[in-house]
Amino acid sequence: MVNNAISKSYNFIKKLLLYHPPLNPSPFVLEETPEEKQVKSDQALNSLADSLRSLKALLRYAKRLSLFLTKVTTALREGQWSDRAEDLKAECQALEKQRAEFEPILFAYQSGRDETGERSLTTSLEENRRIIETLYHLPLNKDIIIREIDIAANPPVKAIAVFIDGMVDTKNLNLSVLQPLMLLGSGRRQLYDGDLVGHIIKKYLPSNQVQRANNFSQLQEGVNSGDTAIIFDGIAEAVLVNTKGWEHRSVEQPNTEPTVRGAQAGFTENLRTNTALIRTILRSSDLVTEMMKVGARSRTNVAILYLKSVANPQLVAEVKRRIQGIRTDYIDNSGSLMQFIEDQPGFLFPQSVSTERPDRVGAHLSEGRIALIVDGNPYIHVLPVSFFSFFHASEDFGLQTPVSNFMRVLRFLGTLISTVLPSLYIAISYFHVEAIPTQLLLSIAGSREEVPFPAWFEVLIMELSFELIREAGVRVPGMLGTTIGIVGAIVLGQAAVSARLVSPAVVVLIAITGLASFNIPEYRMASAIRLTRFILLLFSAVLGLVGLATALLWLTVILCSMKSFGMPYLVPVAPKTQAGFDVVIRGPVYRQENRPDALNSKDRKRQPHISRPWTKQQPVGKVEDEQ
Amino acid sequence: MSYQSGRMGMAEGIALVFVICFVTAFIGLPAEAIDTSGELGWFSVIIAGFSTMIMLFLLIYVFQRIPGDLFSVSKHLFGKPGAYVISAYYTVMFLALAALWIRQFAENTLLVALPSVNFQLAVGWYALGAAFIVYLGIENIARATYVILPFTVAGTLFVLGLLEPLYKPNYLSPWLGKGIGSALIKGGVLVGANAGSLLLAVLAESFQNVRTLKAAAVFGLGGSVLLKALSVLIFTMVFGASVAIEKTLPFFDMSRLIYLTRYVQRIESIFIILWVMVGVLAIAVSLYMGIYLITRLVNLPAMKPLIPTVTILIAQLSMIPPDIGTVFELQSILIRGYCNIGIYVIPLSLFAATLLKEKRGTKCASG
Repeated sequence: MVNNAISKSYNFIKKLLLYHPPLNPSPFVLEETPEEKQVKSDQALNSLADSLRSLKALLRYAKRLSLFLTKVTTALREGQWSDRAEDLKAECQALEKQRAEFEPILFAYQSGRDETGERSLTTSLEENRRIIETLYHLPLNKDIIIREIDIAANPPVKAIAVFIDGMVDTKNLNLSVLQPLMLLGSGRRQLYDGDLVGHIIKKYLPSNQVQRANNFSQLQEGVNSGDTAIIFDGIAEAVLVNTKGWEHRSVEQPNTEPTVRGAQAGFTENLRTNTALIRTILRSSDLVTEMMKVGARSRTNVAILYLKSVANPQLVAEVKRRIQGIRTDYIDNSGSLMQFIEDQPGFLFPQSVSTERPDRVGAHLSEGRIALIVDGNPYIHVLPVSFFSFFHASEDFGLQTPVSNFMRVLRFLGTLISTVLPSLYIAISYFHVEAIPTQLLLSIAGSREEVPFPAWFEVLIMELSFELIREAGVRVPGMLGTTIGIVGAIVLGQAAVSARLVSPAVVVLIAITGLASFNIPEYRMASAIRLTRFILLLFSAVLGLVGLATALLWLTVILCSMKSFGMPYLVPVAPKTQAGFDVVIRGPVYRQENRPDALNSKDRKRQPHISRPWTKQQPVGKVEDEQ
Repeated sequence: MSYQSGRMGMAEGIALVFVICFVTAFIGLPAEAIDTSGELGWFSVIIAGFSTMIMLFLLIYVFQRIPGDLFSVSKHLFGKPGAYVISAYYTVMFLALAALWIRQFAENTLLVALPSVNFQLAVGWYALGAAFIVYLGIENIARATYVILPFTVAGTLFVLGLLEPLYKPNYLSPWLGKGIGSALIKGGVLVGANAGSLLLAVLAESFQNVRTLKAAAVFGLGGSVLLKALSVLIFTMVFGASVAIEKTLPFFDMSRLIYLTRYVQRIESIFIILWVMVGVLAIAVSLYMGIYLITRLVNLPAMKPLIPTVTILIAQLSMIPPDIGTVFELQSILIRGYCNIGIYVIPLSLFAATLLKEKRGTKCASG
């Protein structure tokens, strides 16, 4: 184009008017990884990679051999053979062992398993170190520490200590692992003779828990759990020393289950602390703590606790079977674990009691139930349970029978109010106004006169507002949460009434419903009841009491159809079993003679028929008088 | 769910029999009983209960000798054709009861609870309500019934008790009625009101043992008959026979009369919850029985796929009668006629056949 005035003007106008997209770099788009794109793995490439790994290992061995030969040559040339003979002999033995590992079939098999961690340890320290570096993505990974040490002996033993910074107790590691191995030995120690690992464990490692590991899977499990792995040159075995010592919360008051009269200790995130807390409550050698690992990547520790002579063995086996059958990569929460093993995980109602109180777990264990502890979670799940267990509080047995029964009845009443009150209000005020006494009806009608919404909408917005305040109160940290809860409830309620968005009667109704819902001791059950309330609200808004009755009936049948780990959910009511005087109301403690019938525990008797034999004996003064 | 109905105990048996027999107290039975026996309607209810119980015990005797359910026992005694006829007969009976109850409860709902609701919606609602719980199985229906049972009994007694200021015992004077002889005979005809109790025979195999069947018969049927008789008695005392005959919703009408203070009055709405629950449960139980028998008749591996189809058909069937009057006529025919064959003729035939078989067996053994 000719560069004249017309073209210049044309270009100027074009530049002025035409939209030019900004020259920003293209935005980030999360794309599929190459592994995802490559649907079929390339077999040829895989075998090539295996060959490459084998060749590299052989090359490293050759280098080591060459280095060793140089050492031998130097020693011979310099006339130091007699001084260094022991060292060289030991090294030669290590090299021979390593060579044995290079048997063609074994070598091909092992090198193919490098990245899975299933491989056995080799005698070559260098090789072991390289595999660890591959497994832990070193040097990318900064908290994995590989510490080289020379164990004082004759000849000195080369070793490495592998641990995760932050998960080990540094003091413990220094004093009970590194110091004895590095400083306390004498030059005359003949460690290579016989069982080196056994020798070191018995004589030089003062730690209280030491394990041997012969493959990388075990080694990883130990290191990931806070152990320190010590790998020796020339030995295809590692030592896992217990140096666990990560930071964790100390035992505090339970946050969600406070009591007035009960114990004040709550579970923490540390599994061992939790098992110990239970053992302090239930000091029985009969209490078994079985450990299992769940999650292919998280390898979360799950503890199963039960009283061996009481718990039904079939139940224990079933729980273990279900846990072993979990195929997932990550579990961090006892609630998630329960969803994997529950009978009906899609149902609204919880099928295990979750608690952060050791005394509550102890009481359930003594009845023949099983407790599940997930490492890193302070909520312990107890199973199997019935619907009624969710309304029992830990201090029930600590109070006088009439008082605790009053509390229990209050809780059940609260549950009933929380479930049906709003829907009952809607049903009656919409479809059956004749049921409301005239004065009350006039009062409600008067208060609703200026409200522009239908009653169901009023109730719904107030219910949702209440839920929002509650959720905000939980999420907002500390004291601010409580303040927001109180201020939100008062201000919102008052403002809504003043703005004539809702009637005062509905505010009172929702406040009572909300208060009643907090009477339920178990959070998950309270949530289930809250959700049920919304469903019932819908039914009663559509078909009044007929809808409400149908929904309640459906709810009852659904509850009857539920099972908690094979035990009917509404037991001992439906199906009817021997109640044991502790369902809705409870009898005195000395009348609690049998364990719950539905648990089919090994030992049905909890205490003899006469658990207070002193009532049949003469009082002290009288005995002395008779004598 | 296969056609096997699970295992049930005494409590479940009692609850099932109670609910399926007692449901008639909420609909047409009191008027029907007073219509047939006048002031002694309550007595005819007891007679009907007593007669049904005798027949049930005859059936239990049969099951004691020949284990199995109604179909297999009939097959054993009368061969395959006999078993088909008997099972088909009871299938029709249970499904007809379900259809009539759906219609009556739907009409009641329109009459007293939701006058502006569409008729089809009311019928569909009861059908859906029943079908959903049938889907969850008889064991769970039985357990839910057992949970609701105390509230049903307590609620009924509460209403009957609160009517005490309105009791007029002279309405019961025997000389006003049709006489004891008539009550005895008519009571024998009213057994159809307890026809649901035959579920014990249909599901005999599901109950733990003969003792469970006996307990269910005695306490389930006995309890429901006593409460029904008490309801009819008080119904008569409150309204008088001539007015009571006209009442199609006895329980609702009785609860409507309650006036203790200005705070305890017009509480009939609260009891809607009670009769709706009992109604849906009874419909569900009879629907289950019908579907179960169809499954056995045509030897199907499972009954769940049948539930929606049969429910829709039954709901459609219940909408055929043009008005509630026709429904009462049909119910009368069912209770006084068709069900009587199921209560008297079939159990007696099964009993006679068992005795005959036993006699022959003994003869063979001895001879």
